[in-house]
Amino acid sequence: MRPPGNRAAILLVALPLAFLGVFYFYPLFEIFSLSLAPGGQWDPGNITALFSTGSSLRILWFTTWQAALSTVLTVVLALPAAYVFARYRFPGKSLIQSCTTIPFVLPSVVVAAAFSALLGDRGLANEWLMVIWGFSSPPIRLEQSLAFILMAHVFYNFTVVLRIVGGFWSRIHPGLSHAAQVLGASPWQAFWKVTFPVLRPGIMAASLLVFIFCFSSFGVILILGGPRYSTIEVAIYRQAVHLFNLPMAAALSLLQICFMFAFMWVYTRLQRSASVPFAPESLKTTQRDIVTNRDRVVVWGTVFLMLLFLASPLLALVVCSLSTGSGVSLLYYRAIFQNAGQSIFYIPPALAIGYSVWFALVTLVLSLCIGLPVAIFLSRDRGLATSLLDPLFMLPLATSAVTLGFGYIVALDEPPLNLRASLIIVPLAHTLVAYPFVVRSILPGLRSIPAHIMESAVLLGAAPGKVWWKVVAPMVRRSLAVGAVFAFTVSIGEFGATVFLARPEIPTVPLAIYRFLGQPGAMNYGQAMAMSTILMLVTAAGFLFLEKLRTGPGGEF
Amino acid sequence: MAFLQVKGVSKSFGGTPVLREVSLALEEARILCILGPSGSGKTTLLRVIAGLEPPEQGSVLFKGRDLRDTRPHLRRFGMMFQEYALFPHLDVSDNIAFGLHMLGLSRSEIAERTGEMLSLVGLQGLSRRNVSELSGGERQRVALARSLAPYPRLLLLDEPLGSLDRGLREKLLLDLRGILRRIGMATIVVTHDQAEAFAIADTIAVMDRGEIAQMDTPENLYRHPANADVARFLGLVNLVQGRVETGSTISTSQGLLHVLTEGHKKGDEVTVLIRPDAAVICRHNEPVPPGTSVVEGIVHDCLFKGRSYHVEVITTGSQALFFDLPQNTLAPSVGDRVRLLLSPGAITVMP
Repeated sequence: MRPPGNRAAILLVALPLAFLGVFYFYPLFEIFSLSLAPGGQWDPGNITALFSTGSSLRILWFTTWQAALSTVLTVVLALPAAYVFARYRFPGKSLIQSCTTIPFVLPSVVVAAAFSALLGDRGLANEWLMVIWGFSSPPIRLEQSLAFILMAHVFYNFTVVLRIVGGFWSRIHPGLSHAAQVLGASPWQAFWKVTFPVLRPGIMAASLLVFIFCFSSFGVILILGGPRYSTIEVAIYRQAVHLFNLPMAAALSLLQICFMFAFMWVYTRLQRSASVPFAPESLKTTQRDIVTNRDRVVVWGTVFLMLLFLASPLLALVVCSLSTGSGVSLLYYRAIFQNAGQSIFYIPPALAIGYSVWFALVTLVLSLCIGLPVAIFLSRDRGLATSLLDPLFMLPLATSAVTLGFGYIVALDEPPLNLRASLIIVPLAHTLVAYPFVVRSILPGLRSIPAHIMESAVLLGAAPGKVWWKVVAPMVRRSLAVGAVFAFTVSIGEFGATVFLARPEIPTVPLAIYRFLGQPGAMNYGQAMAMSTILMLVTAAGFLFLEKLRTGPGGEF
Repeated sequence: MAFLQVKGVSKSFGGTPVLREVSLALEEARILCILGPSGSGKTTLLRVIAGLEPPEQGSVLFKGRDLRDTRPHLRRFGMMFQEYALFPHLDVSDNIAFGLHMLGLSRSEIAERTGEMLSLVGLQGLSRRNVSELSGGERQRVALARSLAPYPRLLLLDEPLGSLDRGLREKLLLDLRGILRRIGMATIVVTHDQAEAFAIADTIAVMDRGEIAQMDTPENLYRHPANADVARFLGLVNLVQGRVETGSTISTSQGLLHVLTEGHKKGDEVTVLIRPDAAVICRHNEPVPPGTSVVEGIVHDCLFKGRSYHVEVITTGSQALFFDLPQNTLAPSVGDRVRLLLSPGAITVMP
């Protein structure tokens, strides 16, 4: 396609570049200078302290091995499901696949609340065990344990392995395994000597992605792990917010940024090599219908276990939000909208919902304002400019929300850019997290428009502006909608950056849930459940709407 | 006792029968071609023999032993898949050596056998090449070498030339034929291409809708197709309906046709096949030898093919018949009224 000429192109990316400079690189720079030169002078003491004190080494070590363990567990548990989705056709498959993705898009506070609702001390499983077998105290003690964290991580990332490995697997011809068997390999040998090695790039890509997500896990560890467990992300938060040790938090942030960039670099390299070696097969030849009873057991058994694992925490959340001391009622939901606060610091939860929606709408508009010009710019190959700017604009994806939030409080706290007291600081941070998704949603749609279509519109007498309005806009309308919904859902569930930036009296829904979860009493717990349920429904609905838009008539992009 | 015997094998997918009581036998060191249009069940039959699909009914016997409980990796049948199924993570040599590793051979034995196979298929220089860098023809050779390497007792080839383009096919067909003759191994080849089957096979089994319609030597198959479907599949399209007059004359819409075979029952409804090489043009006043049939018509189309003319004649019975006329006869031209003499040996009567 043919976007405007060079001068117009520069104008197009000027605003996004300025935005990126001020709200991404500047905070990053402040983190660098605070960690390397805390008093305005070169002093790497904080960095060296990171690697010499036992506590920070422990944090680094824990961050790494919990991520590694979570990754291995996720891969092992999701591999059978990936096999079933790769090799079989069965009714309801695409719907089931969509549903397995819901956990991945849920805000981390909702996931934490859901696991607490299922297996926490006040959760359903314990409640039922206590009623049925008359235990006097909760028999399942998972709160603040590693197992709890691991389960939540597997729950979260299951779909990453399912989609990437399943997608990879479905393109491998089953003839490979059959060929190995005819050559004398038992089915088990055929898997280890042929299928697994061929599948390895897919497994590596999925594993690394899961590892990155778990390495930078924040909300889940903060809420489910309690004070005993600390990853780098959680340590940044504690150093900055609880201990006010900003140089230490900056040093940790710097470390985290370096790790994330390194992982992302490896990931992009891996992805490139993963897509080379074999000619992909069409799904018609690689997938079969359920025929034998063995097929039936394999497919439906796997689907059942998978859905049981993925759905039960979410169902427990809903059940907990509805069951009060006096039976099933909407008590907690009503309480959200009543000002029952005893103290003047109490913020009614309904207000948090209002703020969240408001922030999300502002984020949506800002993300489109930034993302659309970037996508239009990148949609044409401009040589060096494209190959440099494309990864540059995606950099925020490789930066954890916590470091971003921390960067904002150290950078945007003095004139001329004192935004600490301003409401806009929250949607600004959300926009930085959300706009890369907008770009990625719109770009393929724009790229797929053939130049001829626009040229013929011009020859038919349409002025350039008209061409965009009459031809391009209708063709990318769907992808614009996808980008918009993406931005909205990212913002409404954002926790890591918001926890630094939102003022106590102007909380968002995830923050309100976090606070309620930390307070004693059935009423607080119930309201946390009710708000989590609402947030879950909003995000899940947004996501299913996205899936429908993406795969509906008019083609996938 | 046959070397390999398939007895009454039936198989269906999702309620649609794919194989219906298929039976066949193969002797040691012979080459059997299963020839059929796509969807006739020939690949499924091959997979049943290899043990990759369990039959619903019937059995596969190897030297008289039922293979029902022998899993594919223990059958020691070599199979070459249609898309070759080369292992993308292994190079050429390691692909060929895979089955040898499964046999548990020593390193030196494996190296020796792999080298032998590479020279058999003429790929000596490519042993360390990545399989994704090979051309279509080279892949086909690697697949053949891989299936031959671990000393299989029977070789199964599924459309061995099916994924190649036309020019390459003709060259590789001759190579394949040479290799199969040299190793003298019992082989079943599945193909949809008659020329391929005629070139390779000792015996051809024509498959149609899950059944074996006819099994015979290539020559007999061509001369005496069992029915109109087989004839059509072999590219023989001059089929005429008729009724038996005497033992060796049939009355048809094209007039009386004389055949060599005797003993057809008077009054039977039959289909007569006139092979394209049956005819020569004769002058209108030329006398007709006794026992020779004559067909008259107008040349509708004529294509000079070097060695022969391919002509379409609309007969007086207004049926289109196709003939290959020798190029040294009278040159036919479109619109001519011609008289064709049909040699009785090229006319076959089918039920």
